Amino acid sequence: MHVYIYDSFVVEKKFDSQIAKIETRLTDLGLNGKIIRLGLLQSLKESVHNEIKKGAKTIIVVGGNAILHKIVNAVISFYTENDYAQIVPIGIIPIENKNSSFAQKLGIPVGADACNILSARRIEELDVGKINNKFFLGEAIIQTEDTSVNVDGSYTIEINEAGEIAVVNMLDQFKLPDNFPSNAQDGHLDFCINTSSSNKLLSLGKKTNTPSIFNFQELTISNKKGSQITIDNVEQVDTPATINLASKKLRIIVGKERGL
Amino acid sequence: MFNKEEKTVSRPGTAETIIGPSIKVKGDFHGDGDIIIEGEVEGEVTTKSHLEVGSKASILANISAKSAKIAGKIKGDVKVKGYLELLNSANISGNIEATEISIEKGARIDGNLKMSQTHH
Repeated sequence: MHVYIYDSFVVEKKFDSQIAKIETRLTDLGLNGKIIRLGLLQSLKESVHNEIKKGAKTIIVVGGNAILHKIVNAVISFYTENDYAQIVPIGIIPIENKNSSFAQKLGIPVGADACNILSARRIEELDVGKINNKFFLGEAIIQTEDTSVNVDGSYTIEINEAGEIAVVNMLDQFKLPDNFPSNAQDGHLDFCINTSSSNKLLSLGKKTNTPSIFNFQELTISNKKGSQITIDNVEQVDTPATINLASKKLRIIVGKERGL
Repeated sequence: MFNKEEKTVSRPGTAETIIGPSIKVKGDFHGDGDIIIEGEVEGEVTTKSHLEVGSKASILANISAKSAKIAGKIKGDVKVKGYLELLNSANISGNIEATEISIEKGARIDGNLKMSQTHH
């Protein structure tokens, strides 16, 4: 059975006609399923885990990046490290006027047109970043001020200038060089630092917007003032935090126009 | 100024690691891919590929690479399996070992230079 999880904002009247069109298209395509409308007191994680236990065929997010981030966490956390069961695929129906940049990257149009993508059921496996006991699909970002990073337990990085540190899985907000190959299917996370002098790199007279870039298996980010790390532009995680690639890959329904 | 030779990491996007100008790395740094250093490093630097040290960079450590282009300051031994290029701003306090070398006018070396055998 398909399980549709509606973000809490979709109950607002202004989304009524959009939701009606989506539900009609789903019926036309024979993709009906169970609808869960998130309430303030409802535990999303618990609801998702229950539906997976009951044999959900697909968990479909109706909303933007925020609900997708929560569903990614709920789905991945259901499976234990040594669990070889196939992970339930996630589908997305992005809602107009809500931040849905992840869906855009995955080639999924907003509103009822996303139902056609669900119908085609083209599934790709994506890497997922792990930070402490949470997961992220896009980026983990923290300011450089008072922050230090230990990489693979072998060296430490200190940054003497204002800027941003990012661990990138699927590129969203962070600025990487145009020719830097980063995607969510390459089997590793990218660790980058952008500072104000990044533009002057190499002293070659030619200005480039190149950040510092490091390879890593596992890194620990600390901040003297206890600043937090923002993941997927949705949730804050306390420092010190350990980041690595999750052992499980996400299975997600994508469109033809994906730009992973 | 770096020339446009094939070994130059002319596009930073092709380098596996880039240590920018405001970055300080402490500890041993080992890599398989190309490395560009424009900041400070205190610790051993090793790569199986090309190493490029910019004119503002400062390295307090021994370094080892397949090939290297150095324009910055190094306090430590430099061991390069293939071609080592020292630019006019290079300042090395340590011993150097390489198979091929070019030294631009103005580069400073305080140490011994050993040319290793070419491997065919």
